[in-house]
Amino acid sequence: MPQLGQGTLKGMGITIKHLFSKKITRQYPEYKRDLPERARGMLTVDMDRCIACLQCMRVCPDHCISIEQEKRDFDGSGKPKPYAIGFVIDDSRCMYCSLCVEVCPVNCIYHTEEFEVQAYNRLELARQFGERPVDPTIDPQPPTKKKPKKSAKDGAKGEKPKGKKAAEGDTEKSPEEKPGEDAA
Amino acid sequence: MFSFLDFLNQEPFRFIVGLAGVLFLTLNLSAILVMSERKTAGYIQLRYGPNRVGPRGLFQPLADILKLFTKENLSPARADLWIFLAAPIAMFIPVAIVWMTVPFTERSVIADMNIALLFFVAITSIGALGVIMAGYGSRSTFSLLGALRGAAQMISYEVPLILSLLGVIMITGSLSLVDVVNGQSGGFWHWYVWPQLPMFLIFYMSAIAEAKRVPFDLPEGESEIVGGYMVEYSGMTWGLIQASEFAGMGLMSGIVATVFLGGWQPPLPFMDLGVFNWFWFGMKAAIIMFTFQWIRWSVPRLRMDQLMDFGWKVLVPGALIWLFVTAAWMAIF
Repeated sequence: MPQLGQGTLKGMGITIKHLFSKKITRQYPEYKRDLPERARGMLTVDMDRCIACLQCMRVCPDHCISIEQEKRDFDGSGKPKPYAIGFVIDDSRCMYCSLCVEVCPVNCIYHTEEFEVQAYNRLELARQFGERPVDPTIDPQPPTKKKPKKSAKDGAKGEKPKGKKAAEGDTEKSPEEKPGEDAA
Repeated sequence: MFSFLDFLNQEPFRFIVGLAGVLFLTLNLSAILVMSERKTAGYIQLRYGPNRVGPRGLFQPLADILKLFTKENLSPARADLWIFLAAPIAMFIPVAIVWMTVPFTERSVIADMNIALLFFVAITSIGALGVIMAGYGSRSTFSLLGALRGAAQMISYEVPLILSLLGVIMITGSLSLVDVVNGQSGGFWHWYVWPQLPMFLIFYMSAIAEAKRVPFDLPEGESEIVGGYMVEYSGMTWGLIQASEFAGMGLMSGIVATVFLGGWQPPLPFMDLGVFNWFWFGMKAAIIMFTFQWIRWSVPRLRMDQLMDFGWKVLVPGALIWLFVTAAWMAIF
């Protein structure tokens, strides 16, 4: 009986002490503390270093990276190399797993210290890099292991049927389209 | 000389002005109490609480109300719509009406009824009806469960609430709140809190339970039944329920201050402010309200069976025993 309510009174003593003690709140937008060394902020790409190997795009679990690439002959050696003309990171999908950073062979994709990701429209979160914007709404399908694009010239046999089909499609459509074009 | 104030003092006008004043007070009080609750919660948890809207966050209640008004008023598809919509009103009106009997000073009381305490007890028990209506009208299992728990709790704690008032009524010999306060004139040693200390504690705890606040907030135990009887409410209907809860808390602290702490009577005789004695009433009510908030942010919630046990096995017998002691003391002296 003498202990009745003592725990409650003790707890209330602690809370009344807290009521008058110094507050530990940090007012966020005014006060920003330093981020830890390996903090993962928004991703960014150094397009000068990118070799368009598409590894980050393949490894991304959320398919938040899409790259549009093209073969360009930089050094005039006659051997065109892949070049990323469009690079988009959709931050509305990114879950900061850092897999793309780990997989990149030239360290061109990395985390910044920027973490305040917000927008009124989801598409505003898709950040474009490179020369040409890429449509971020299309779910990027990472190329299969067969690498049909890279081996396009080697596997010409594989390419031809598609080309034939496409050509057939064109030829089928062309009679209909051509009059229309002529009329236009 | 017939002044405008005398004109307002005519009986029907007096009543209408009083009712408008009471509604104004109740709604503003609940807005202010929400703010003070959030600030107290923040300070106890070593935070600042709301501090963005206006100077030191003082316009936060305004922003809250505006936001509630802009929200859509949803109701469940199979809800009993009239009961669903009438429930917040049924919870709010009793709280507002009882304020009419609370004397701020000897003259500033809207209805100095000679049955004020009975009126208070009768009208506050309507609150349980509002809770039941909200739970039943929602046609939601959680709502119904919360409402039944709430009704069980409110009706159980109504008994010690009434019993603990009886001691004061016996000493005063009147049910009028003005008479009760007048009986406590003089210094703070004349207040009924001293001869009726156990009754004061019982009334205090029952008042917390009647206001549905921690540690007796079983009707809305978030961990077990989501939001209790008000899960399905949104927008201003939810706002009205909250307003009635906070106004009910203010009302309970006002009644505690009136019945046990001497109402408008100053703590020491020379501190009499004359017409401004409502200051003392407000101070006492505010302190009681602060202790309500202090308890809320310090104490965990009771379990349902513990709650019922405490009500029926501790508070009711305690009140009956002290009633007996009071009667014996009055018979002897």
